[in-house]
Amino acid sequence: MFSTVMTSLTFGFLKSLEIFALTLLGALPLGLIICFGSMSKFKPLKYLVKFIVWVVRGTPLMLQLIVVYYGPGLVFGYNFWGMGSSGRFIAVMAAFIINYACYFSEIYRGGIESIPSGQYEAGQVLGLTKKQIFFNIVLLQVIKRILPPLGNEVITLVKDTSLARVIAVYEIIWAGQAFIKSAGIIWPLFMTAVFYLIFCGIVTIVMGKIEAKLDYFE
Amino acid sequence: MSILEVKGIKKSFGSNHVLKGIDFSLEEGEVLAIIGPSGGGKTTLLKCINFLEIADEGTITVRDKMIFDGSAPKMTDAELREKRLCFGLVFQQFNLFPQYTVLENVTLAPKLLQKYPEAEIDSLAKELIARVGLTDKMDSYPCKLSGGQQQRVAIARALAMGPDILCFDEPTSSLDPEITGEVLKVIKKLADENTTMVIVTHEMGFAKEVADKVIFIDGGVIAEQGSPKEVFENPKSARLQEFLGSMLKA
Repeated sequence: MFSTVMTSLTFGFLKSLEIFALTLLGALPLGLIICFGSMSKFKPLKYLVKFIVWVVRGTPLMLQLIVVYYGPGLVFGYNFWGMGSSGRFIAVMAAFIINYACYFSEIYRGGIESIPSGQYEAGQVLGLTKKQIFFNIVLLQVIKRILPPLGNEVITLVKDTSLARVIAVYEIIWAGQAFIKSAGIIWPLFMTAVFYLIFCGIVTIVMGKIEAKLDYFE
Repeated sequence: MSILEVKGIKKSFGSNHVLKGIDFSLEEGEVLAIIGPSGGGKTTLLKCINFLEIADEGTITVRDKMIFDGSAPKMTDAELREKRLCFGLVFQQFNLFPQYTVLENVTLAPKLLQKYPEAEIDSLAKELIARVGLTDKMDSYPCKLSGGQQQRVAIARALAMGPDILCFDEPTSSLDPEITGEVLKVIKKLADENTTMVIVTHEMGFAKEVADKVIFIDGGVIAEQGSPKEVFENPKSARLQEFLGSMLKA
């Protein structure tokens, strides 16, 4: 029994990991684009982006998953995510990436705005371009400052992957819960916590290593 | 021939008229000290000269070439960058780049702008760092340096771009009194080597010793100017007398 459960949980957890990795891959860069939008000098764009961030951060991710997946079908009478489990998975990824990109964008914005204006001025008087100032002077300082809040968000993401089950994407909680119905046992559900704990531990160690790498300056 | 000629510089922020028409000129190798009360417009003037702020009116001429004309159309970013390079600026807060070593701070801009071949940039930077007396700190990061050492690196960094005129914005105001001396010594040395400099300062004794010309800015205008002897020993306006009196008491 134990090996059956572990195999099933491992499969579920691989799906969780897939959601986790793809979300980071999409949301980290998309967040930067959203961040630039929310800091844009072009007012209509700035307020549109701020509105979107407000909606995304102001509603539960679980609700967003449901709206993203069922919304198009209800509104247009056509489910453009595609049928079956692959369609559901694409919808999950879309919702997760947009949701996390909005959170990341605010972390980026905080980081960028925390850099003293003297750093920009010093670059300017040396004749550097805006791009050179951002990439060669500001960026690494921003990364150093945002690592702790980013780490927090990444750890939240590990556990948020469990929300995918509301639109029937088969991840680890689903796998664990299935044993309650099929075998009348609840310990597989508790067992899922071990997977989360170990993985969050790994994430914590990795984030700590990156932070330590940037310890050489203040 | 004047190396720098500033005429009729005006700058307002909204309804706040910070500079109400500033004129002065500077000969090659001269040192100009700008003194005056806080909020009088000294730093804004320096920022206008370095194009960190764009003046509303007036002209700036360097070596007979007009590099700024308030009545001309707005300059593009590229023009602005090129013209900025006539000037170097040393900040009150040093503003070194924390993630780079002393040597990298000095070489970063010349390398990015490909001012000289890489090897030349390195040897010039090392020479400049030696001139400010920090050869043994070449590979240190700014957070490991004292304020005075950081400010000396900032001076070397500004010199590396080969400016015609080096500007200082209260270079010792963020330093402990006992280490202002090491920075002033470096500036004095530059003056002795005929570096053209514009120095905004609260160090009256230093201004008197190192400057060829002193201007006193109050309320957005030059309230008085002249040689250090005239300004410090024989102030004419009541406002300057009062200012110098308050500085002596402090």
